[in-house]
Amino acid sequence: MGYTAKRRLNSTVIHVFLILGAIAMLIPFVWMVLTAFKTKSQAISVDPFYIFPAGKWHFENFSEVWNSYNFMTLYANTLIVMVLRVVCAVLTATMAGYAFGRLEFPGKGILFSIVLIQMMVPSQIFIIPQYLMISKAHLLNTKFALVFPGIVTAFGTYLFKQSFQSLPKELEEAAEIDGCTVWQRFAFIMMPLTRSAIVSLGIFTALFAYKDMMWPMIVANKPAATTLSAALAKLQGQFGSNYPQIMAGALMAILPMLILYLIFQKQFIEGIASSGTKL
Amino acid sequence: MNQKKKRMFSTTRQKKVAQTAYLMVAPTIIGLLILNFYPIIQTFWLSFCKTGDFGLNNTFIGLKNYVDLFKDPEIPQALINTFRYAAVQVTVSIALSLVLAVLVNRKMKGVTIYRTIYFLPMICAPAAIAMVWRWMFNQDFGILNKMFGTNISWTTDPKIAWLCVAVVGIWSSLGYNMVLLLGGLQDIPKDYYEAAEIDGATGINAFFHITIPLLSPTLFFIIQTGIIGALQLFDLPYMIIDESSRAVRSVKSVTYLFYQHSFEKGQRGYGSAIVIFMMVVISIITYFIQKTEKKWVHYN
Amino acid sequence: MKRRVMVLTCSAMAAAAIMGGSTMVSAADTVSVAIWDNNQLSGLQEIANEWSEESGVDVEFQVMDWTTYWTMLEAGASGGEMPDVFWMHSANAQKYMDAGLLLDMNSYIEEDDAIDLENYFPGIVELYSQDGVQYAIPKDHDTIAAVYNKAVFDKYGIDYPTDDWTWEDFASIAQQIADAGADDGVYGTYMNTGSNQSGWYNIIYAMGGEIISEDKKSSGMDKEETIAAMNFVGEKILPACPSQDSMANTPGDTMLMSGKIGLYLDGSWMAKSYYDADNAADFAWVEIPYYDANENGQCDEGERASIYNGLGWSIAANSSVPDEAWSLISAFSDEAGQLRQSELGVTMSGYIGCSEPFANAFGDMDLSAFTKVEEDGRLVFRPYSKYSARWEDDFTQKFIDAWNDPSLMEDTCLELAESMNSILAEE
Repeated sequence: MGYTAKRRLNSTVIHVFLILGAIAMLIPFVWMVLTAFKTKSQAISVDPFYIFPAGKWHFENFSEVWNSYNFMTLYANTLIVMVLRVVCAVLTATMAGYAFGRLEFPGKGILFSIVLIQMMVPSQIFIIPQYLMISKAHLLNTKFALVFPGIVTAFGTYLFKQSFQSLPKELEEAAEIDGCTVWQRFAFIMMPLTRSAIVSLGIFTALFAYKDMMWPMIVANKPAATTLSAALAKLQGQFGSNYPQIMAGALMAILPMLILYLIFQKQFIEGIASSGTKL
Repeated sequence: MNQKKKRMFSTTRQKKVAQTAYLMVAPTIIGLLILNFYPIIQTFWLSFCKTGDFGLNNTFIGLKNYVDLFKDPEIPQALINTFRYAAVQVTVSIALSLVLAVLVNRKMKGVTIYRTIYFLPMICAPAAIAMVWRWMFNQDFGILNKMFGTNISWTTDPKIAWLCVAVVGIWSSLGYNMVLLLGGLQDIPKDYYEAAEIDGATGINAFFHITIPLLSPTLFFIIQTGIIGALQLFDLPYMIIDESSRAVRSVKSVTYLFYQHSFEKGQRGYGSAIVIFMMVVISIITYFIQKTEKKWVHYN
Repeated sequence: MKRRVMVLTCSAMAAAAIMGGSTMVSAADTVSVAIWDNNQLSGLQEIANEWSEESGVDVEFQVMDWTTYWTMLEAGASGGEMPDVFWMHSANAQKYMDAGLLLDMNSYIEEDDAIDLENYFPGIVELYSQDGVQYAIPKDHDTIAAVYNKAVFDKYGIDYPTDDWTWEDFASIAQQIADAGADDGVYGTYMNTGSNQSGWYNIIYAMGGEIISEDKKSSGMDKEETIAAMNFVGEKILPACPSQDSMANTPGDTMLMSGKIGLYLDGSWMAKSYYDADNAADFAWVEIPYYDANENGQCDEGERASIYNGLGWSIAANSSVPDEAWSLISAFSDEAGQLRQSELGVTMSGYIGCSEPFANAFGDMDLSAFTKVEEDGRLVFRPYSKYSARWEDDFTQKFIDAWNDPSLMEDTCLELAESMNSILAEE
């Protein structure tokens, strides 16, 4: 066998392997879509087994779920929480990361250990006390409650400390000679250089805010105040074994994120990838 | 701070810089103190209390929660469940994603498409993932039994159910690990391989002698975060396995127990004891992982 | 520059606080209602809409499953943020009354001509009162009947059951179906560990056993009759059921609708979901069987037992709109509202004598099996105590092994009696 022939065979084998894997990754999504368009009795029909919806595709599952959950509110809530969390996280973490990464001040070590402790401790430990704070302040079912645990981020602070540290010293020294203050150096010279870290943190924070289920379930039990993930967790109970409606709900919950992802997939994936090399 | 630096800056300057630095870290530090530090202390305190109905009338009961915890047969079972899930999920997911990353790391058509598809579960709400898998696993009407023509109790047979949960965990994390590893692979300079080829090291040989060592920082990061993440398992078993199934005992994780006691049974004190215990376990494991770091991780 | 960054941070936080605040302000012209049964939503919504038109106050429903409902209500109660109006249930009522979380309704009842507690099932009224204070108004009551899938019976040439059947008949018919359908993967009936009110509780009471003593101080799980009843479940009924693994996968109503089983016991609150199915014509209801204790071949007094239960409408003690909330509850629970509830097929009424329309609420589907049992059967109020939710969870979990191996039934009953007694001691 010649070299090129062997190479071609190799690459065919690789493609077959990757395609099979891709199919396995996609089956749940396909099954979600197919089920969402069936009637309940088609979904639970044993004999015959319907792969595709028989007869017509049933859009009424979507309208049923749409009507019993206020999806527009859920989308809006989720989006607001995602944006607020990203803004808070980036603002606080860039500042703190810069100070930890590039400035000298007494007590730096002790203060940074507070950041490290948060990263080591399982997040479940915070839930009850944070919940009690929110409930004592009578802030349950508010946007503030949903954003609350994400106002600051230890992970982000760590990420930015690393990322500011990796920038060359000369940049700042030149600016200092020109008479720039620390704040000016931070905001106009250094921060723009950490764009990739900002994108990483933004994506991580947004994804986390979107996926977090336990916190919104606990602090926002009213349907008008909660997020998609938490509402979805309740959906299963509400529609019991009406699988088509459950799947329709699940599909509507992931669709906006899916569209965003498909449009920005390059930035998404590179943002995630670059975080791995920083930590 | 060393002498050189002290000489370079005047004291007033230093003070000013320090002042600015404190302002910059203030939001984060104050936030962490309120959001995380205080809760740790409070949880610690709660773990010595018996909480009344609706969180009222907490009474101090000393070590009783911890004594109960060590007598509770559910705890060792939950530890076993959590550890074996972590072991299977982390190893298989990393091995598979490493293979995928190596296969995709070359000039060929469709790389972007593969990457996009494998990464897809990362952007889905865990509740949606759990629901669709639960539906696929359904013994009577699920697609898996139909496809294979079997009648397996995927989510209710204790021997199989925990593996099913692990499969979903692997499916969900594969793309994320693959993307991180791919990033690491692309940072390895090509000339390393060329040099190795001259020495006669190709294929598998090059993989173990060049790829793995140079990828070790990324691998270490994935292993460490993967293990910690897996130890905090909750969503998947909670949503996939039915509570009236005998399999629930073989998938109940420590976090699951914590959730049940704290929020479903109204026993916050005991729930807090569980989570403190878990914190200790995770700290010990993290310590050992960190210790292995020097042995096999090569930083440039 | 310094100032600008700080201002930005502060305004972001302030914005979050303000936006959060707005949802609280708007609550004044809305009554929030929490329920756990999606089947009842559309009917209740209709009654609520009529009320909204008159009062100009919106009603916002939220529906959750049973477990989530109680988790959320408990979290809300601890944090002082509950829905204005919500369902109360025997499993948890006492705990909520003890903690003072429910609104004292006495003065409202006195002023409202439409509500007179004399008109409701006394067991339900009593359940929701403590020291002379009423904390919930009866919403409904329910009974249990058997439902069968005619298509399954026809396929295997088995006669439809009739009202004069015994639990032995039930078991033998189920076994016939299971034997005939073995090759098709069809089973006789379905009874899971969690099928309590609409399952094995009924058999225990029919056979003279009990779950809890009348004074609610001790468990009845170790009584001879209770154990005999559970052995009957293990030896006669479970062999005709799908495996416990399979039952944990899929609820019984879904199994019956898909033709995986032929026969099932269900509560009146579930009737609508059968009627809504595409193949509703296949389903028929028959009275719950009796246990022929004296073996004279007929159903004597006390031999047919159906567990009954009634939900109550409660108001949060700290609701900001108690007057509106009461007005809504009054609309749900007065005679007209209760009749409407029956007509719409939501549930049978908590108001005595308003349930007749329920039997014909669903056109061709005859639901009289639920109302007949009130005349010829013994209605047993669903067993409860302050922490019943806890021992009921224990039942569901600990019976799993006995379900898989019925020879463990007696030991499990004794074990459950012990754990239940220790919970009762805490009350």
